[in-house]
Amino acid sequence: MLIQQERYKRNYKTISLEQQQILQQSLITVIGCGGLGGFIIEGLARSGVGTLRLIDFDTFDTSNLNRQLFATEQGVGQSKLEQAVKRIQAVNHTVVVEAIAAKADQDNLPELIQGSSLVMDGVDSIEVKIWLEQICNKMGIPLIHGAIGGNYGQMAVSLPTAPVVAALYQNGQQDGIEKELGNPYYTPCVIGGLMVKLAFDVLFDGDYETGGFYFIDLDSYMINFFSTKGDVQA
Amino acid sequence: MIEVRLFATFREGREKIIFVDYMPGMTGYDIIEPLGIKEEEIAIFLINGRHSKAGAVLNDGSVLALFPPVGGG
Repeated sequence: MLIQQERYKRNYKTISLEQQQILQQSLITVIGCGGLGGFIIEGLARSGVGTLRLIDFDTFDTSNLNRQLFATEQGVGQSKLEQAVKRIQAVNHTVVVEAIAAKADQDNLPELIQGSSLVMDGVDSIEVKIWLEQICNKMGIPLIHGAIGGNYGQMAVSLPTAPVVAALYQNGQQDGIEKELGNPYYTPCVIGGLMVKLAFDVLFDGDYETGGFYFIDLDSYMINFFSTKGDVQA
Repeated sequence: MIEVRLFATFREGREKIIFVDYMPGMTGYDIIEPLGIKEEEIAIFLINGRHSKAGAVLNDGSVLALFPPVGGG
């Protein structure tokens, strides 16, 4: 038994031992170690994903302290990537971490995500989100898309057979409502956590929707799935 | 009757669900212009749960869902 039973004891009634082994054998790449990325990485590490590949180029600034899990007062000015690695080592030293200091773009993404079981989108650029889908689809790697702004968020599973992200920005927008509304603490926390659950459902071949997107409205405490295949949703 | 469902910031100063009388030949523009929503503000324009555009011709009973872009990380 490779898995530390005591560490994951509280998982087992919900995440089975077989599923725990799937997590341990998985390599998940997280692009971005900021708002969404922080909560995603924390969740993946605590849950026992075997290998995490983290990609970021940025440093923490004071305005990150309101929400980004790995941002600390002492860490302002320091690399988001390095702080993320320190945090993983502190909460689960059994996770193998591949930290790559890079700004994801069309040219380097194929190499950055090569060999991943699954990729998670924690980037704050619509342009990069769309590139990420194109390249994940091309390489046959499932992508968990996520985006936040104000009290709102969206997430989706993008598969080569069911691309979705490009269609979520159909008028060529470069910026979203986050530029106007900012991002409070709870939005990356909730959507990052939900993205971890969605990633696990993909890895476990569980129950999740494709061919559309989940929209999370924290004003109304609502999560709805919107099919884009022609079925009207309430 | 056309049912228009607005999401996120499109609800500011507007109802969540708006009903508009159907007129033959009307398009999405006939819906969004009176609401003061510009086409370039819309990231997702669903008609009956299918990706569409403001220029699409509507049918009586069409259900529209409009979302602004959400892009933060």
